Amino acid sequence: MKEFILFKNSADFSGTPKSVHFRALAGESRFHFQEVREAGAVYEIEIHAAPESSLEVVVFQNIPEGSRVWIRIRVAVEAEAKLNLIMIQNGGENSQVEIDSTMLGKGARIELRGLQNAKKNQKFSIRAEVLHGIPNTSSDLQIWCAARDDSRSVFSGSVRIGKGAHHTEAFQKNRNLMLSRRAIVDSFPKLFIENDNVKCSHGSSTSTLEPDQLYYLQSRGISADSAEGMMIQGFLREAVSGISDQACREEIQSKLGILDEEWA
Amino acid sequence: MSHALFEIQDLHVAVEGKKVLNGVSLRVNRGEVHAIMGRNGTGKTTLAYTLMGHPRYEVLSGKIILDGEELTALRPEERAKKRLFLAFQYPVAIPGVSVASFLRASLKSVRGAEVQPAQFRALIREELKGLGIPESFMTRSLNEGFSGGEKKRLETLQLRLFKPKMAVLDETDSGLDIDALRIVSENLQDYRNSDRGMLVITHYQRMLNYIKPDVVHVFGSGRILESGGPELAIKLEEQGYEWVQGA
Repeated sequence: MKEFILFKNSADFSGTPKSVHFRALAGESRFHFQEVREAGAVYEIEIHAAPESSLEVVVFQNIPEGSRVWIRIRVAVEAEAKLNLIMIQNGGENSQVEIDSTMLGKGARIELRGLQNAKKNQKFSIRAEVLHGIPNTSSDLQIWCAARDDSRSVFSGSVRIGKGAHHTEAFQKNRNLMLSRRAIVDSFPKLFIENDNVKCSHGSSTSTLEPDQLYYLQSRGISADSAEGMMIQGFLREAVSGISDQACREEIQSKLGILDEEWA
Repeated sequence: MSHALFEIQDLHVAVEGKKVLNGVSLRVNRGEVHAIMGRNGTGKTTLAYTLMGHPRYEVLSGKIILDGEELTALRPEERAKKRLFLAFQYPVAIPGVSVASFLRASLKSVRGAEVQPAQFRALIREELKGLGIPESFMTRSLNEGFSGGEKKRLETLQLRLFKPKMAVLDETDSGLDIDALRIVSENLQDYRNSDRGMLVITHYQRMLNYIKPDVVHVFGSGRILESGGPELAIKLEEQGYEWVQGA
């Protein structure tokens, strides 16, 4: 695992440090979008969902080619609040994302979606930890990776369920689409469970494009190259489909090169 | 003598080293509908996939000819552009690819020319209406979460949209309730004309009540065992395959 930790010292970053806070007050419903554009910067993002609030935060990494970024996200979700966090690693060369989240009250829920859209020589790592320390909380952690060219990606997920955390529901999945024989992906989904009265699962799948899907598209006159492009776009579109704000979702799809047929 | 619209000449095919088709020969003239009936596991779907160029199916010998042009060595997309169409028994789901995007890309490829958005929508809407498909399907992922009947309706829509010279229907009637069977069959029958051909693979007579075949073939052991008129399908429905030698 050690080799996948790209950065250990923020002194290596010459860009202006960024500190961002997103919060939803009690009972509020909020949406926030953060585009990460500053090359060579450390981003510290704090997210707080107050009791009975609903908060959605989309973080889109879009730094210049050849640059690096370190994104550290701390999440706290209070009783009966729901957080939907979507983290997209896209531009630049080296990117390290660390997400530490914790539940502070019963009924708290975290949905964490990540997309690593890795190509060329990019190195992307994402470490996500979800801590369930109290009863009746739930989480769903899903990280998707499209691995092209000579890219290298790693996912390290930890779901920790404490002794008193009865009736926790926690799910974790890592899905990797391999698009190059040279690309490397490492996947470490982990569960640490100290309570028997919980529902949990974790898994990881790594595959190439599905040949029967390719054949189906080809049988409709679409060339193999175009068909592969459509299938990759489909994968990326699915990965960001959880963004509830349509304008934001469409902007990100556009930046990811996803073309949509308009139907109105 | 003018050439047949579609011809299969002594086709031998293997799948992962195992021989499945053992010399299939067939001629479909313009305007004709042929039905292929046979027990499960006799190679009917292998024939359908092979005709459409599935890479897993290895043609050992024989030819596939459409309108005088040999297709045997062509890729699936090239066959589609020559106006051969396969309606799949189990169309795959492709998450994240919307039905509208897929149809637009396919139509452009098959026609070899861009289709203007307004024209595209008008074409699609007409077919949706005829097949009783809600317009909301256009923004859904291709075949994802579709019922068996919805998938078959979408296959039928594609056939009507792409206007192939020759259509191979692989058990298009399976998974359809009575109403869906009627709607799909009527749309297929409506598509039929004196220039086009169809090869209908089916287990049952019920679809053939709507799409009256000119010729019925009994398939077994990877080849055609018996051929006859529409009465052959009725006989099979009544008596099964026991009487057919080799079936």
